[in-house]
Amino acid sequence: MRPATLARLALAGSRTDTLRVVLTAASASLATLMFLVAAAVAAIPHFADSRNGSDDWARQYQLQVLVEPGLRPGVVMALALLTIPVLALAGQCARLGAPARDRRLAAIRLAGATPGQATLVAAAETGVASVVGSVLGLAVYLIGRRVLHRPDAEGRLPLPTDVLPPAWAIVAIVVGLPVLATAVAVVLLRGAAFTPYGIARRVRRRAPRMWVGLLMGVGIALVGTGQALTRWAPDLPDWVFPAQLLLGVAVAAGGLVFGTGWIAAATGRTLLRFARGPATLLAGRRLMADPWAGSRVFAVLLVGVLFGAGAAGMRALITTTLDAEAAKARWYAAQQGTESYPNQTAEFHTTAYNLVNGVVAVAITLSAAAMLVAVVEAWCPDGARTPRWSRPGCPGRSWPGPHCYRRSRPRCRPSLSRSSSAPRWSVSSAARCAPAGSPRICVLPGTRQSAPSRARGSSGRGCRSSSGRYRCRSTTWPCSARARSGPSRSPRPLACCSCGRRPTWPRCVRRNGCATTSR
Amino acid sequence: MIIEGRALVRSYGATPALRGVTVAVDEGEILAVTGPSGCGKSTLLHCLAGIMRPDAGEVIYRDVRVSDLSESGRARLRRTEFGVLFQFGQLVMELTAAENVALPLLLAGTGRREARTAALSWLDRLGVRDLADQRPGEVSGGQQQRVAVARALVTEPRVLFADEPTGALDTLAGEQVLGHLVRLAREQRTTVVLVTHDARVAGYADREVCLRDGQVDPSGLGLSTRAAR
Amino acid sequence: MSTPHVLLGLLSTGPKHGYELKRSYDQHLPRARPVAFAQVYTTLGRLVRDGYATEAGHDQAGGPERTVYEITASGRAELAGWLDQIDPPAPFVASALLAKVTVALLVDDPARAHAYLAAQRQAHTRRLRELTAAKNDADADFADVIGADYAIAHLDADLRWLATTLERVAILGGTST
Repeated sequence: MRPATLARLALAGSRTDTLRVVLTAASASLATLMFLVAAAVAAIPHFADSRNGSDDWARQYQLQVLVEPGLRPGVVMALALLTIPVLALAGQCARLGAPARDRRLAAIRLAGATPGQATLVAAAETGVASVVGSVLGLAVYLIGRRVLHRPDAEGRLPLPTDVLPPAWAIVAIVVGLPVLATAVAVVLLRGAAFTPYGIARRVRRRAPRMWVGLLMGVGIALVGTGQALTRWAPDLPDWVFPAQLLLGVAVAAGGLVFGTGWIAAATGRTLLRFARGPATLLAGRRLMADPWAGSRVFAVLLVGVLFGAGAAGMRALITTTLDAEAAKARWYAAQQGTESYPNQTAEFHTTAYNLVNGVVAVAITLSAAAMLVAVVEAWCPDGARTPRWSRPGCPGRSWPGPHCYRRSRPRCRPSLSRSSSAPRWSVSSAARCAPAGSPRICVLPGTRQSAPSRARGSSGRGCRSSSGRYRCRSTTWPCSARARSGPSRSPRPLACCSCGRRPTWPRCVRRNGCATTSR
Repeated sequence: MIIEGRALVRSYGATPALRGVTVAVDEGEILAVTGPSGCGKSTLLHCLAGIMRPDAGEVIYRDVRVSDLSESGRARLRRTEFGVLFQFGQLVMELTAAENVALPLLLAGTGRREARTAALSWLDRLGVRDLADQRPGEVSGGQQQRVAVARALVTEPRVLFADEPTGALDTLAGEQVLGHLVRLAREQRTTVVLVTHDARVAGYADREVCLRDGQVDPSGLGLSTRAAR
Repeated sequence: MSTPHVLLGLLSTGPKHGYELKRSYDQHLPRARPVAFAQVYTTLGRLVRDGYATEAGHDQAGGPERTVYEITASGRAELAGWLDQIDPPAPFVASALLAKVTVALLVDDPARAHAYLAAQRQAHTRRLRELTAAKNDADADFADVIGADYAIAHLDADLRWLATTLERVAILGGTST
């Protein structure tokens, strides 16, 4: 295969594919930027010189965390950790339009491409996008260095714009990131097997187990019992408490990440049990079939929130402690008749926690963006994971997924002008309703075909339509005739096609010849 | 004899699809594989074409044991020696008709211009030259299938595997596709293995092998053994 | 098929004598049951008797003298009436195939029915192949193609009916025992 062919195949795609390439490039440039800033912080030189007695502080910065060399590794670590949500975003972007891409790759394989060639095509796309992204990131970094190099009145800098990371580090980041991204793309594709009708995953994902959800509880318990443990056994070594805390947070975070899949699956199961309409049924089944689809980024977001909450708690604790100490100092000074000096460290801690909060905010924003991408993917007509289906109430549209569950309840309303809450597409759904006055058969078969026992024992109160007939699904009979004949012989109408409930449901009101809820 | 499957066994999980099928195809022959749905005829075609590996048994193409080749080896064999044609889905929707036809040549390393010339000449032979720069989504199903025939034949394969090639088409469009396919195959002395459930499509073949429940039905009726009692 | 009406239709394209009429018939309905010369002449006689056709003179171009016939106005009216008349769709099911299978099942010998059907199916398939080849022949004209199409569609229907019937018999046998 010639490079021109490779480029043509790699970049042949629809608008969704273009969007994926753009998003991949954007997240690559963001990650590059993060790593470059981290490298720059790491590159701040040490001035310590024991001969002239100077200390190690880099006093050219405004931020205390940059000034003190002992704090800089923490900044580097925070920036490096910040790339995790960025990478989560990138991973979610890679899934955007993935079914269409898989289909394309399968077609290319069918045309005679070897598995290697197909992988090459897929990797080339990611490779090109991430190279462009990381070069862009480098450009943004270099321009940003100039633009943000603004010393204040005392000549102190807001950011480490006076140092440049070593050349090898820049090269490693700008080259290494695309290589890593491409490698990840290749590894992800290795699990895909080619069939004439599409790409099938070789490994069928197991349903998430409950114990991963329990991890969360264990983590929280570990954190909660930490202090009690130290009180109960004061002889334990000093490192036990922080270690337990760390372990607890890690376990809780892990439980969160893996547990969301289980929560999604459990929600799906519950939804399925109480499913009344096709929308609920589909939403539940979809959640159970692929609980990880939406929950992965959601987990990252949750972890972000967890850390944010932790940081906020610590901040509150520290500021309260400092305030208390300051108050104590003032009281003590007043007692002694001396002047109290404001504590310098208070400002430092506040700045540091502001920084942490900023980092958490960025992480949460990125995760939210990734979730948005996931939602877009689920809605995208191109993402042909659910076959294109339309149902009464959503004519000609495809609304896969639980996202539209509430909006897509099928409705049949003979007249729209009186229903203020009707979504705009119910104009055409009304056309599918049977004409008034005729024995109606609803276009939508009921999902629960036989539930006479559930309908038993209630009268037809409030559900008689003006024409004396009910609009029901799963029955061709006028419902009033059913109601008269009694529940013992013939099954009662199962559900009103407007409100989806039994026609005897008390909230049904008479409206427009169709029993509806007053929703 | 150009390709032969010997005692092919293949199952999907616990469901057996092929239960020891032996079939031999002569060079230049058009062989129809018929039978009711679920009898394993598509699986047989996939095994013969090297798209799928049989669980047991062997596929021999001109002294090469296809079933022993690696995935890449089989892909290369498919590219050079075989052509495949399915009911739908084999065209890359994002590429134009000409690019689709040129694709096997491009993947084999042929230059772009050369491949395009070959593709255009094949589109011409199938009467769809005008559609060269349209995408598959923009043309009718019958035209798509003709483009697919062009792509299957562009490498001048020795064996063409067609799985219900007209299954998604109406009678006339299907007839056109099959007419072209059979005419060109005879011109090139290409062997054709044609899987179909339609007797009218099977009418284009020289010989017919009928499958039933994953086995060759000797009576040719495609009936279960229960019916023979 | 109503031979008089077909001959009337052929005459409507212009006056013809008996021999021409027979050739025209063979050309337009190549796969129909052949019509004999004698039948052409008797039919023409009947058409003249009923006033649908009339003798339009004699032709003696390099051979024996032959009577030329042409269609009359009432003949055209009759033809139009015939063309407008809807044929009752399949009023009777009369097929040797059906009769044989029914009788074979009556005498309760499924193996025999099976053998007969296998042989019959082969014959059907062979004919189907011949017709397909004839249809796709480069020399095939329009009449050939639509005639072959008609026959192929009927053979296909027979084959499908065969397969379904035997499935049914098998299921019946399976459930009753």
